[in-house]
Amino acid sequence: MWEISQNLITGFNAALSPIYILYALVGTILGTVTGVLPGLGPLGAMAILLSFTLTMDDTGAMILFAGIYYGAMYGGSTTSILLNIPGEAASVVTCIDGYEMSKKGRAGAALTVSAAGSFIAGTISILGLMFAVLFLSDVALRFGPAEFLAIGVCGLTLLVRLSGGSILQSLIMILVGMALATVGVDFLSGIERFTFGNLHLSQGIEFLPVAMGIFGISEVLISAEEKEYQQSVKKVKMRELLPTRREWKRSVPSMFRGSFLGFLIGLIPGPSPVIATFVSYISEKKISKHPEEFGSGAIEAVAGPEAANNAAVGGAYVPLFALGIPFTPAMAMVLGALMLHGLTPGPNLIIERADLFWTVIASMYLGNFMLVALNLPLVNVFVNILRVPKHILMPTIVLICMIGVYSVNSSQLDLLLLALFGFVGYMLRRVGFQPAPLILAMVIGPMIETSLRQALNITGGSLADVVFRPIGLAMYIVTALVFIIPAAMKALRRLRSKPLPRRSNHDESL
Amino acid sequence: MDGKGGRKEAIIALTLLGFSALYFVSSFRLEIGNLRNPGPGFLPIVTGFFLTLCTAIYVMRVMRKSAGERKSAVPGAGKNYRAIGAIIAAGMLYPLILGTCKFLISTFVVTFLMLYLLNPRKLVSSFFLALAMAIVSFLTFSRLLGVGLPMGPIEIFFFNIGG
Repeated sequence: MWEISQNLITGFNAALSPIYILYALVGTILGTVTGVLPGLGPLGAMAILLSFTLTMDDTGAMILFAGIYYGAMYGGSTTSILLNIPGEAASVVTCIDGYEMSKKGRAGAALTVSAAGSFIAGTISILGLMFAVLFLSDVALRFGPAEFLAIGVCGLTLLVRLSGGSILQSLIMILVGMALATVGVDFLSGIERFTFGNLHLSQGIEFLPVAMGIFGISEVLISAEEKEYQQSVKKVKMRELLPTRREWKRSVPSMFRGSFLGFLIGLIPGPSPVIATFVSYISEKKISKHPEEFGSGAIEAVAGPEAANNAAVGGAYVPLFALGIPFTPAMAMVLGALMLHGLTPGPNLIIERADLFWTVIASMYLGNFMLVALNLPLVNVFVNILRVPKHILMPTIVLICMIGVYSVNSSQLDLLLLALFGFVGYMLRRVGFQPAPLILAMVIGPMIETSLRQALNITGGSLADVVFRPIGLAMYIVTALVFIIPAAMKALRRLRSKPLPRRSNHDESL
Repeated sequence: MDGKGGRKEAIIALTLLGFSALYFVSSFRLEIGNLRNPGPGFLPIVTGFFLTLCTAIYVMRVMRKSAGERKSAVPGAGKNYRAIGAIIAAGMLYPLILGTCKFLISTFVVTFLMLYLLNPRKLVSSFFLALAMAIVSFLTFSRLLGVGLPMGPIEIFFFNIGG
């Protein structure tokens, strides 16, 4: 405990340097702006800024990304409450009761509760992140290839279940991602795979143009599909921001419940902030004394989900920092930024680069504080961003994406890949495919392949020895249960709802 | 989903199947190895097999669904296809002209193309906006953020303004 406090103080010393404060500030502002804009979520912002982090040091890049992630989660709620427009998927639930509160003239209270919930959740999840990473990274140091294979396989399998959309479509996306990850030189044998003699392809398909194309450009294309509309922007007065004593009393327990729930859900693979908000909403409704108010402006329905989506962000950092495995697309971006700086996240990172880890943790506390301090007074400024015409906003985003991709390798092939994957991502999303599993499989795929080949080498080709190891086996069982339990429950429900066979006339006469 | 959507899904499903089959067949050129010592083709073959299987099932599902839907085909809602075309065209054009025309001209051209096609009524303002965006992005990324962009005489002139 003493060591943790010492490390945290060192982290705060570094995080309070002007340049890191600036990065945290820029990150939270950019995050809020992207959260406000429908379509461009934290992923788009991270994808666009990924290449520009090259001009920063690694710690600065991590601070910027953490700020973007938190900021986007908070920014999305502003437009949900004021305009009924979810800036990003994790704010959809907030629309339901947040906008109803706004219609009743309680928009200010909803915004303050959302900010307070985000702050409490952020703080709780950072505490959770600190302890979970330290514990898990200690355990992970004893992991071998078989355990890492299990983590990778189970992570991707759970993603199939949790990423939304059809299971078959998610599975296809994962396999396509795995296939793309095998392009280039196989680093265990040095043999070229699927390069068709192209020198550029021998280095493999870069993660950045694929991610920026699939998330950034395709998002712009989807947004471009719809004709421009003029959004009327409501103003919130400062004196309206304070919730009543009754509203505080009802929302504070929801904030704490949402925080714990969100952090735990953040640990599992998939779009955890989105899942966390839905789970929090449902559980709040179940335990509320006024469930009838849900849907017509219940403050718990804003406090709980808002806390949950922010807490899930902290939870999502745990597998990345402790195991080096990103379980959400946004974490894949963070991994991309770390790799661009020559760092490999995982248990060793916390030992070798303790300065980076603790400075990022400390900056998260600062970023959380900045969000509350900046966003409530500036709420009208952020909402006004929606007034920028779409026909100017979209070319600007595309331009930034193109310059961003080019700046990493100065490669025109990367620009072509950006356009290609932008189009592919757009087409796939139009028919219901989720792009997140593809990106995660592309990142986790090489780790799965290396771990599998190493594990088989070590065990002399015995698949049983690879699978039946205590930790790995436990993971495979839990993953299997995630699929079996819902299927079994569905079958049971169907069985129960089956109408009983009609009694015959003979029976009735008896 | 309307008839148009069903057709679109069928095209995507068939493209995915084509990609999967090509990947699966190509993976046989690689050395598979054995369980004791898996070669570079081991995972691609496994991945290719399952990918082809999954996409084949997907194609069958889509075809079955489309056949039912074609009977009740409804024209799709008015989508802004010009905007989509503008963005895709700009994305494809940019890498082709960047090397020859250098940063400022190529950025101006693609930005103008997007701005104009997204809002054709504003030709003059699109021209000046594109010009401003090209110059501002050059100064921001090249001078402020130190990004290495393709430079010609015009870029060198702008780069040296202000010392």
